[in-house]
Amino acid sequence: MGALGIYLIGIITLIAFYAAVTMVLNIEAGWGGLWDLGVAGLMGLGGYFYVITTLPTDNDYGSLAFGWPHWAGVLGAGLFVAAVALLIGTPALRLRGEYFLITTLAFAEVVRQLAINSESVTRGTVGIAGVDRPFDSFVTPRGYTWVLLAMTVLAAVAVFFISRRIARSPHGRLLRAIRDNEPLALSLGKNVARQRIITFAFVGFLYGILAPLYVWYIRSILPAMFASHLTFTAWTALVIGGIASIGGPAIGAAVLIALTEALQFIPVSPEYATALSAARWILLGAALILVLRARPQGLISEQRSMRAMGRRRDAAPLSITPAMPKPGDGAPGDASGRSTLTISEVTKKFGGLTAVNNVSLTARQGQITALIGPNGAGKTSLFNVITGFEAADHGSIKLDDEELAGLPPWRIAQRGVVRTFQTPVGFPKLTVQENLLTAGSSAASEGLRAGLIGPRTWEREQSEVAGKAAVITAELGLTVDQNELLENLSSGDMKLVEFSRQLMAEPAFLLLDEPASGVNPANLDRLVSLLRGLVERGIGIVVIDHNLSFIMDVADHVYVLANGAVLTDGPPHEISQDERVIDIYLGSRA
Amino acid sequence: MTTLLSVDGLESGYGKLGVLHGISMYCESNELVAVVGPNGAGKTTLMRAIFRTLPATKGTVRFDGKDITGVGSGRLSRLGMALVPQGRNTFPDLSVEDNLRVALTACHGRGSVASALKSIYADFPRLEERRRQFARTLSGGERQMLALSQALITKPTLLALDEPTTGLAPAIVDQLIAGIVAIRERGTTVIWVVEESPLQIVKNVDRVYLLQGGTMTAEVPASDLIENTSMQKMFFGMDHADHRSSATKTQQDEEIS
Amino acid sequence: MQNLLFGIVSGSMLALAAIGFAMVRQTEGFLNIAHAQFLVLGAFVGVVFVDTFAVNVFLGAALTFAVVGIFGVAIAKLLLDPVRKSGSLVLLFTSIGIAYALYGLIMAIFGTEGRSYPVDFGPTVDFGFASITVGELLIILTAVAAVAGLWVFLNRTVVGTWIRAVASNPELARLRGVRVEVVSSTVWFIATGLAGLAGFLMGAMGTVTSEMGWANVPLILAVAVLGGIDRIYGVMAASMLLGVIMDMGVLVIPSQYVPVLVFGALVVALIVRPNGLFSTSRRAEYAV
Repeated sequence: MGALGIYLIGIITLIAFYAAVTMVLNIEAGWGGLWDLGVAGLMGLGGYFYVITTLPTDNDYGSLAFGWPHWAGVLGAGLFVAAVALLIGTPALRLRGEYFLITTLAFAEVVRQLAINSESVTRGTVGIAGVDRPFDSFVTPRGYTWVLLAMTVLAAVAVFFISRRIARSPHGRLLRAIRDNEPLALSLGKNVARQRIITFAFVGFLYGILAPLYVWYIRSILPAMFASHLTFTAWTALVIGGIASIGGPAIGAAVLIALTEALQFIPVSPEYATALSAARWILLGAALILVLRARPQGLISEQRSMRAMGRRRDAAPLSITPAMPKPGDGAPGDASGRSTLTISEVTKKFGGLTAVNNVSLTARQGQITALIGPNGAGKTSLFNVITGFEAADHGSIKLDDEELAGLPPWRIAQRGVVRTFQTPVGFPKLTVQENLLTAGSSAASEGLRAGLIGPRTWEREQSEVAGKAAVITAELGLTVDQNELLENLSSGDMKLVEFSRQLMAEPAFLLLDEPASGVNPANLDRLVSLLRGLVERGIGIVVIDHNLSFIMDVADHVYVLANGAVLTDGPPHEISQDERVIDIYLGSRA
Repeated sequence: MTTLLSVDGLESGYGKLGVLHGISMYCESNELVAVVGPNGAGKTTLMRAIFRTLPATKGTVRFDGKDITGVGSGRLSRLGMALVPQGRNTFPDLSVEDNLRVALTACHGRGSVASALKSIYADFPRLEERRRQFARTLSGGERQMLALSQALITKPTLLALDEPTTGLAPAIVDQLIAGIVAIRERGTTVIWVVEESPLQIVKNVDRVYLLQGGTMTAEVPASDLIENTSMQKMFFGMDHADHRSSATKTQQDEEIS
Repeated sequence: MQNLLFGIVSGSMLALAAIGFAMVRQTEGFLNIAHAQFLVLGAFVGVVFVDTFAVNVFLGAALTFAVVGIFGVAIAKLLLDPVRKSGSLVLLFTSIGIAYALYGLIMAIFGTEGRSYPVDFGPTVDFGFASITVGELLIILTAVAAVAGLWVFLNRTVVGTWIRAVASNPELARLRGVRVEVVSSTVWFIATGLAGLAGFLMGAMGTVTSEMGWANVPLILAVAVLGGIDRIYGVMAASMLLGVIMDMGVLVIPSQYVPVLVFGALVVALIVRPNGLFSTSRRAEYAV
């Protein structure tokens, strides 16, 4: 095996390594939506942990060594990085996109600086050379290239199967849903913050486990190995291959590394050597620029991957038969088994402005309660307060006897108070089917554990949820192809999906934010009978809308808000005749 | 009286959501026209479509005889059209005077900067008092005044105002209404978009368009509206004096089906 | 005290480097990771002017500013404008691509070895408690002059006011007829030009290497974030603060840990005040 052969094997090993790293990045960034520019930092931590723990205690490199066996060092690295990710992630993941990005970059820099400056432990910029590697003693140095290749490829394949398993599972779907529309996920009862931290810690573990491979490849460890170049190479590979696809990351890594390494084969005279190695950076940059310009979704798009992988779940026959979801449990209800949502003296201020002023209202299951009032009257703020997206300054929100005020939105949703959003954006990059299934799935089947263990843990539940979805969509008259991406639907269909999806969450109370907006006047009657049908099955509906004739048709009881306070309330025919109500809309007559 | 602005079959919206379904309207020179409608009717969308900050999917807009359907919004101010949008209509981090300067210099305003400022300050002495203050420190009414002045400083032939009085205290609303009427008196054509308290405003205008759910449902001389209750009907829907309770309604529905 | 002066010098250079970054973030709406590479470019271009062509230092600085500025506008028009519609994330990653391409280009043209200019820093001025060379004093003054010049430009010229208008309310600016392309080009020219100038000054102070850019990215991001990401004065203040802290920090803790401290503080600051330290500072009510 000539030197060229060894070199080629080295390239394939490098490709496998980057494929693995890029696939992990895809999990957190492509599916999880975490813009992590600190990958090198996480890997650096893992690398150094591994080296420090596995160095023989009687070495002449660093002052810190534990002499652990290799497998312990690798596993330990994974756990260590996961722990750090947990620590950093808990506060950092609360930051919105751009700031999280900068924080991760700063974090990576901190790690790098620590590595450079903890000379006694890491030997600073010079690093530790000639690191011991597993199976070292069994093979010749030349033979070792094959061993390393095998280990790295194995790792890449393992990561591939892990990520594919996750992609197919409800967990992967949940990640993508949260990425697409966080408030919507919250409104469906998903604990988004916890999920993000779990994802970050999980990828931290994987990065930690993969880091030693790089140490074995370079046969040393030094800070320059884990600099931002590592991060940006992985990101470029991800962008080229196709962010959020399944096979994309590996292909992107292969294309990118092959391209940049291929340069080494160009014969040049020594004075151009620097220029040639510089060329690999130019190529990296150019590749990224071009792909983003020409095909930002990458070689394999998310849609293509998910479509190839997904197969429509055939509905399993239902053993339990609610034709429509029953109101959520946890609400004991009154004598007739119907629950009441009581809002008492709720006040919400924004700076100097009192958006909601001492508002009290009652909504009951089996009824449609409407909130009307001119723009700026505080209706949306009230909705946000009821559903937990804003905290009330004062007042209580009770579902029967249970106090909801102060609870996070996802918990309020789990208690049975579900809202819709005015613009039914939904989870745009998920299919119609996935939108519905996400809403109806339990935390158990959507968890990481279930995602990793496999279909055994979630298949059955998902079939049932799919069955329920089929029933709901039939009742609501939704006839689109369920494998279609939500963002490709017409706005009318998106509205129907919005309804169906929120119903899948089995609400006790459904809060509708402007359901009639954008609806063709011809279809308004259908909407009215739809809503009446829902309350007949026992759901309670609270609706905000500006289309007053629609409200008058559909509501049982109307509250009128003006300037944040309740002006009056009563049955529709009284309200539409009330002079004061007419006044606040039309203004005083001459 | 010549037609200054004419809109024909205009359709527009946001992404897939079509908001305007074939709007037609016109303005004659020196008219004061109101566009009234409940929330969500598409009034702001209509203004955006006419002033090209939103693309039109169908239909044409003609100003002063020229087809401006393809013209970019920036150029319109140089043609003599100015829009005062509903919210976020000032540069909060710039001083009052800089706000005015930007509007003037971006439009190659006719006449010198100093004289243009002088005449605006003559109309709005409050703004002169606050000329060095950052726009974000102004009160709601003052900000609206500033937004209006920004449009006026370019001496437009057509001025469109998207809900200029909404959310303001009654005393300021009266002032503003008087100011807008005065602007018309001086020769500018005005389109006035109204949602809040329409009855108070239509007293001052020549004609009223009623916009609902993306379509023009009526066009009437202002005098007609003050007399009858068509606006009430438009807002609240027909036949709600005898709206039955839900129980009887369901019963009747069942009888019918 | 000596360290304080050093801090002011490094703070001024950092400020020059970071202001442009903040401007771009403000008017173009994304984090331009390639910004630091314009700094490196400025440093090398400076070497070419002063070393190879024996140009006077002041002229060299001005030329560097202009050359890098023009180059920056070209890059922005060619590579960034076409992807504007794809959103700030695509712009960010495109800028990463540009950063690498520039990095490679600079390495290819100028090599990997360090260079330095033969700049005479002049006599040392002794204040008793501290001393500073005339050259370093001039650096501070250059930075001050550049910032002052920027202020004048932004507040007293037509285009400058347009730039502030676009930063304040882009949709309204467009509606009022502000020519957004003119604003954009001007911002790119100034931003990259200032970065080039900062690189020139840094080069004059020390050596110039192709790695300079990447070393400065975290620092620039740090001051940008601390200053409120797009508040120009905040960024300036944060730069001075950071410069001083870093140079005085060595008095308190071993010098190798200063960067750790700085970035650790950044992470903490972001978590506590996500909008930056200066974004809600007491701002004057009146425009001067």
